[in-house]
Amino acid sequence: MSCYYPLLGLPHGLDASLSYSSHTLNQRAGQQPPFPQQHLLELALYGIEAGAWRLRDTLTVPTHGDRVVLASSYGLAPGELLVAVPVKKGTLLDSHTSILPEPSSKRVDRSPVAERCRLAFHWRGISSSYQGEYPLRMAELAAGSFLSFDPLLKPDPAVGRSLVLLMTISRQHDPAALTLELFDGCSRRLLGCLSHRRNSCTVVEVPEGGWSAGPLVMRGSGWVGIPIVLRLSRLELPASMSVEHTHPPTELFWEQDRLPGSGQVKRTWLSLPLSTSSA
Amino acid sequence: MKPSSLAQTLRRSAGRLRHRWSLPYATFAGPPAGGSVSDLFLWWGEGGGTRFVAENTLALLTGDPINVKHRLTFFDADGTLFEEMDWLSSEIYTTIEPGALGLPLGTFIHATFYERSSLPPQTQALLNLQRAHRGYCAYRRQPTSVWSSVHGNVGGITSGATDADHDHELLARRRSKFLYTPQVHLHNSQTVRLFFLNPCRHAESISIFLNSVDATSPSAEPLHTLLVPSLGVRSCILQGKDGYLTCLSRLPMCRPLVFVEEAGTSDHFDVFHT
Repeated sequence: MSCYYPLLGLPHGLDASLSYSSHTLNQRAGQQPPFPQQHLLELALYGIEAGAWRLRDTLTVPTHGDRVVLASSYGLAPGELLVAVPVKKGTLLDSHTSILPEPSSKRVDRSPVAERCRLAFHWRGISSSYQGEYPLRMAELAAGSFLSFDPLLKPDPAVGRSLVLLMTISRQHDPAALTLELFDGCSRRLLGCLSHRRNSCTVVEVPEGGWSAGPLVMRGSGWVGIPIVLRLSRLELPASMSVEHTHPPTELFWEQDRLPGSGQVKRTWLSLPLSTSSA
Repeated sequence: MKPSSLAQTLRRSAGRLRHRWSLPYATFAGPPAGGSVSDLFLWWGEGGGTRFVAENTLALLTGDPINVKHRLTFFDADGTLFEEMDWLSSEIYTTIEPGALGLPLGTFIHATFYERSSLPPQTQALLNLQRAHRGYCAYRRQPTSVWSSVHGNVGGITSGATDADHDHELLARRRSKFLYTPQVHLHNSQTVRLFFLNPCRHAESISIFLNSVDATSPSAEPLHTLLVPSLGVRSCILQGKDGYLTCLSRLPMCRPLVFVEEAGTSDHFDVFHT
């Protein structure tokens, strides 16, 4: 499964980067020495401009090494998103296109584990990362639904600021506004209704102590996305931070029950009527 | 079984047989009915400790608070049963802080148990769905640091449907030899701890190689070779290294959990699974 890699524009004081290597992640070992297969690739960086994809840069990935790309190098505003598309070296790329090019794959056999790169976040001189990706299959979905809970937002006395970064990548851009609802999972009270867009990143600042006593639930219909939770230490403490993404509901179930189980979870939470009263 | 379901099952079975060398879990073994399957999680008793966020699958399925017994079963670094602890909750996600266990390094699994008779019939039916527990661990470098979260990695360790059942089956299987190259460039300035967990039935060997970024040929000698016991964990520390690591093993997914400390920092480390 080939993948896209997001580069996110973040609020002041924060930066994001991705580092993409020439190495195959996972492969069957042969008789050869233990060295992963190398690939001659370039990273094409695309962003949305005037409703279509525009090629912002092309970067060579060194053989036996990696290419690091910083969001701040491209002056990305908070919520702006560039997509790094790995392509074979020398591929002719359109400078403007309506459909994002298909990413090249470093897979060499059927070994499990999706392809990925290092997605890192930087703040006060420290970095935190995860091995991330945005699967092509997700980027090709014209519909779908989004549902996420708050296991990564549990109380932590050292945390001064929490952000949820929600990204949606679509190969074929559609500028229509999408609705992201945030609600209390116990009281079923609507806490906020945000406008989310494809090929952008919605930055949700979660207040210290949360919005309400119950668990935070986020949902949307007609689109899919990946949430990343970023937690930063209180400013009076030495800098420390955490970055991780939440599992999609399919991961709550084993093998053949993934689809029926996650389908039931989604039916339950996506159809919940919400109240708007503050009582 | 409907003909279309039968055809689907046959197709799936044929695919599993054909590509069994690449599958992380036993081809036809299944978890016990009404039970759960857990990832194998790292217990790190040093620094600022370990905490765990456990999911209540039935509450997530129904949208209502449902009483659940969360059980964490701890193993020492050699994979020997160390302790079993239970927590009761009705939340959809519960933070569990076991505190000091007297275990500097080990592993644990998560199981959930529900009192079937107390559930309405339509909720009882949802217990037939096989629950996977891939919850979130968090580690701190110092007690005053932010908890750094990381989700489950690989496991396939079953627990039965009732809390009186303390047996586990290990579904992860050894595979053909694989090379796993985490997509992270290590630098000289870093102290890097690698943790390898083994959810398979037998001890497995791992050889760790360094691919220098300017090398045109691989290093033939491993930096480390570890023998990880079943349900156990082994770790190693790398300092002053520059390049990418490649792990050679027969583990179903030889994905180390990584703690990276930068020189000059005392409160933060970058925690991630590969």
